[in-house]
Amino acid sequence: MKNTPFELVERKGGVSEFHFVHNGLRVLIAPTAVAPVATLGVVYRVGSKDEVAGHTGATHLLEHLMFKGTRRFNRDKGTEIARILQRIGANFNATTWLDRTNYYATVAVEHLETPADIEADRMRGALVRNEDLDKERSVVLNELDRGENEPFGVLLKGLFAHAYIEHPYHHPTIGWRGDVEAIQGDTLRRFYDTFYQPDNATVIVSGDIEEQPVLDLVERFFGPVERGPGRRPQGTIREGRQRGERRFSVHRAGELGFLGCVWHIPEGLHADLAPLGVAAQILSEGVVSRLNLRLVETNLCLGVHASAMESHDPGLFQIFATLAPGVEHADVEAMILEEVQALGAAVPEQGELARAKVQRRTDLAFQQESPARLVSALTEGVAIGDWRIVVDEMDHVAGVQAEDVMRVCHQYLRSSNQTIGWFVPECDPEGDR
Amino acid sequence: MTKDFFDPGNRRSFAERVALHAFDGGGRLAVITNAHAPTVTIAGMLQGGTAMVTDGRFGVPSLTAAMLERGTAEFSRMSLARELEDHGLHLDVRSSGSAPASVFFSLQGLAEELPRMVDILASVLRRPVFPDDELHKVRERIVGVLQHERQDTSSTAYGQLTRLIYPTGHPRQRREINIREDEVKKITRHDLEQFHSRCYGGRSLVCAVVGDVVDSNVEQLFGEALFGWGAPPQILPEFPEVKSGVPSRVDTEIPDRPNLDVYLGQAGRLRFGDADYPAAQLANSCLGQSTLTSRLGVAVRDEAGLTYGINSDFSGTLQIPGPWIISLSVASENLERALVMCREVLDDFLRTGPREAELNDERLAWAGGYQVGLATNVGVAMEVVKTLLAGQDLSRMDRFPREILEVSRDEVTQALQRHIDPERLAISVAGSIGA
Repeated sequence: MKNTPFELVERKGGVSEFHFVHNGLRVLIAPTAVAPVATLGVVYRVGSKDEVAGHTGATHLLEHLMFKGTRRFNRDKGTEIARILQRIGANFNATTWLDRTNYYATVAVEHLETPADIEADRMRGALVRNEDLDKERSVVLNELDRGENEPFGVLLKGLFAHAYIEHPYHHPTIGWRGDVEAIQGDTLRRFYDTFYQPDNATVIVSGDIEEQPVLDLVERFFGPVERGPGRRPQGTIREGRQRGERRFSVHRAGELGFLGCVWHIPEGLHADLAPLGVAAQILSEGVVSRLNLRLVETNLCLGVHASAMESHDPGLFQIFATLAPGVEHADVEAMILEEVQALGAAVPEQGELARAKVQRRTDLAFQQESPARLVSALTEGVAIGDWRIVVDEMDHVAGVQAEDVMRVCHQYLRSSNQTIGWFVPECDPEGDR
Repeated sequence: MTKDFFDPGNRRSFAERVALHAFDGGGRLAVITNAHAPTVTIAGMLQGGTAMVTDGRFGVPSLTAAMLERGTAEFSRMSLARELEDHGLHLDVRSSGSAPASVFFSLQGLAEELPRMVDILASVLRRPVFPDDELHKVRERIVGVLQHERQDTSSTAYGQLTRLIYPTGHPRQRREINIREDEVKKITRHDLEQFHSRCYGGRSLVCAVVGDVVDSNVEQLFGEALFGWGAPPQILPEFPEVKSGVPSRVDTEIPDRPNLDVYLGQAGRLRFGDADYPAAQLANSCLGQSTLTSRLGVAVRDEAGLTYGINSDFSGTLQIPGPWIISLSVASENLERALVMCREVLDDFLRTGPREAELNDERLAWAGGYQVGLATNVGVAMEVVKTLLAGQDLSRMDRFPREILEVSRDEVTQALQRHIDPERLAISVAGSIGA
C-alpha cells in the first residue's frame, strides 16, 4: 500500500476529485461551511437504462433491497440501516433514475463516519435475500400504483415509451408491472454484482469538512472494499433518428386534461444543452415567460412547464401543460407549438436572456448554501458523465447568446422530431366498449 | 450552550446570535447573519389566515393572500413579476396550512438584493389594490384547481376525514369542493379590501431574515418600510367545538385510481409549546414518524409489504390544533388487512407504551434531526418564525435538543394516553375501492 493511496484528478470550482487507486473508487470533496453538517452520498453508474427486456425495474427494486440488510447492518443484528441513521438524526434516502442510483445522508459533522461505514458495507455486502424481495415487491407495486394515480405520471410514461423505441429510456424507471411482479432474486443478485462495484461508484462529501480528514475516512471505510466478480457491460444502445411526428392519447377517468410535447435533444454534456436550458426558461420560468403569458395568464392552463433533460445519453426537451376545465387539447397544443416555432424563428430579446441568466445565478448561489443540494447536483453531474458540468454551469449559461437559443430551437424542436401525448379525462372511459 | 450553527469556531448560543427587533405596533423581526453563502431568506407570518374570518367564508383569506402578488399601489401584476424575475427573486405568499390564523410569506434572493426585497415585501403586504381583472383570473384558476382536487385521492380522503371529525364552521374542516367553488365565485373585491384592512398589519407580523446581511441595515430597511403600519388588535374568532360521538368511516369511489389513499384520524389537541409537546411528539415518533423504522412502518410495510408509505402525525400544532392522523397508501385488495393491522399496532402500542430502546432511538433521531434541519437559511428562518409565533423564547432553539433527550418514558406514556384515543378514530378512504 502506498503512503498516499489517492491520486488527485482535478480541483475545480471548490470541488476536488480523487481516484482511489486500489479499487478504482472516485471521490469528490466539496467543502462548504454554512453549518456544522455534512452530506455523504454514493452514486453508482447504474440506472434503468442498464436494464434489459424482462428485467425492467431491477435497478429500483434493488435500491429498495439495499435497505433490507447488509453483512454488518441488518435487523437480525439490531443494526438495520434506517435505524442506525435515524439514531444520529440523519436526513437520508436513496433514489433511482435513468442513469444512476444514489444513496445519501446529511448528518452533524461529528457523525460523518456512520454513513461512510454503512455505504462501504452496502457496496459489496448487501444480502439481497429472496425473503426480502417477496415483501418488498408488493411495496414497489404499491409505489407503482401511486404513479398510476397521477395523470402527469401516466403521460410522462407514455411520452418516453413513444419517443424512445430502441433506447432503454423507453421503459419507466420503476419498471413495467409484469416485470416487477416476476423478477427473481438471482437476477437482482447478478445485477448487484455487475454494477455495485467500487470502480463504478463515486463517493461525494460536502459540508463543514476538510479534505484530508475526509480522505482518511474514505480510505478507512472504502479502502478494504475489493472489486467483485462482475464487470459492467460495455457499449450503449443508440436511438435512431426520429423521422416524423408521433402522438398518442390516454383516455381515463378524471377532471382535467394534460398535454405533453417532447423533442429529442443531445446528451447532457453536449454544448447545446446550455442554450436549450435557457430556451426552457424563456418559455416557462416565471410569470412573464412566453408560455405562461400565453396559457396561464389567460386561464387556458393551470400550469405549464418546460425543461431540457440532462442525461447521459441523448435526452428530451419537454413541455407539459395542465389544461383548465373546458379547454381543448388541440388549442393548447397549437399555442405551444407556435411559441416553440417562434423561438426558433427569431432571436429572443436581450431582456429575456438576461432574466434567464440572473435566475440561474441565484439558483446556483442557493445550491452553495446547502451541502445536500451540492451533493445532489454533483451526483447528477457524475451520472451524465462529468461532475465538472456543475461547476462550469454558470460559465456555460453566461456564454449563451440569443442566436444560440434561436439556433437550437430551430435545430431540435422540429415537428419531425416531436412526440405529443394527450391525457384526456373522461367520465366513463370504458363506456364505449 | 450549544455549538453555533453558522460558525463552528464560535461558541455563542443560537439565541445570542439572533438580533431581535420590535416593529412599529408590536410585530417582531429576527435577524441572523450567515455570511457563508451570498444569499438571503426572508420568511414570516402575520394574522390574516383562514381562521380569522367571522362569517364562515373561509375562502376570503385565501383569496386575499393569492391576490397580494397581483397588483399593489406601486406595481401592476406584470411589473411586479418583472421586478422579481429580472433580479432572480422568489416570492411566495399564501394562507398557512400549519398555522390557520396566519398568512405565510417568503422571499429569497441574492443578499445584494435585500433593499429591493424589503420594498417589494412592504408593497405586497401593505398596499395591495385587488384589481378586478386579476380577481376574475384568480377566481377561475381556483375553480380549476378545485377540479383537479376532485380526482386526487389523497386530498379527497383527507377532506372527508376532516368533515368526519370537525363541525361546519371549524377552520380545520376542509369543506366540500362544490361549496368552496360556489363561495369563491361570489367573493368580491370589496370583501378582500375589507379583510385586508381588518387583519393585515405590523402588529401581528413575525419575520426572520437569515443570510449574508448586516443586522443594523436590515433593521433600518424594515423600520422604514413598515413605519406606521399598525392594525386593530387581533382576536382569534371563536369556532365550534370538535365533534364527539361515534367514529365513522367514509369510502369515496374515484374511478381509475388503483392506489387508495387512507386516513385514520381524530381531532388533535397538541400545541407547539405545550409542556407535553416533546413527549407527545416522541410517542407519535415511536408509532409512525418513519415508514422504515416506526411501529406502523415495520408492521405494515416492512413485514407485510402492504404499503409504500405509512406515517402518523400531529398535523398542525400552531394556533389551532389540527388532526392526529395515520396516513397510508394501499391497493384495494389489501385495504381491509392494512386497516386491521393499523388498529392492532395502535392498540398494542397504547396498551404497552414505548420500549425504552425504541424511545431512545426516537429521542436521538429528533434531537439530531432538529440540528440537521437548521442547516440551511430557510430551515433556520422557518424555525425562528414558528418559535416566535408560538410565543416562545428563541433560547428554546438552544435548549430543545437537550429537552428532547431528557423526556422520560413515563412522560411519553402519559402523553400517549392523553392525546391518542382509539375509540375516536374516524376512517376515510379514496380511490378505486371496488376495483
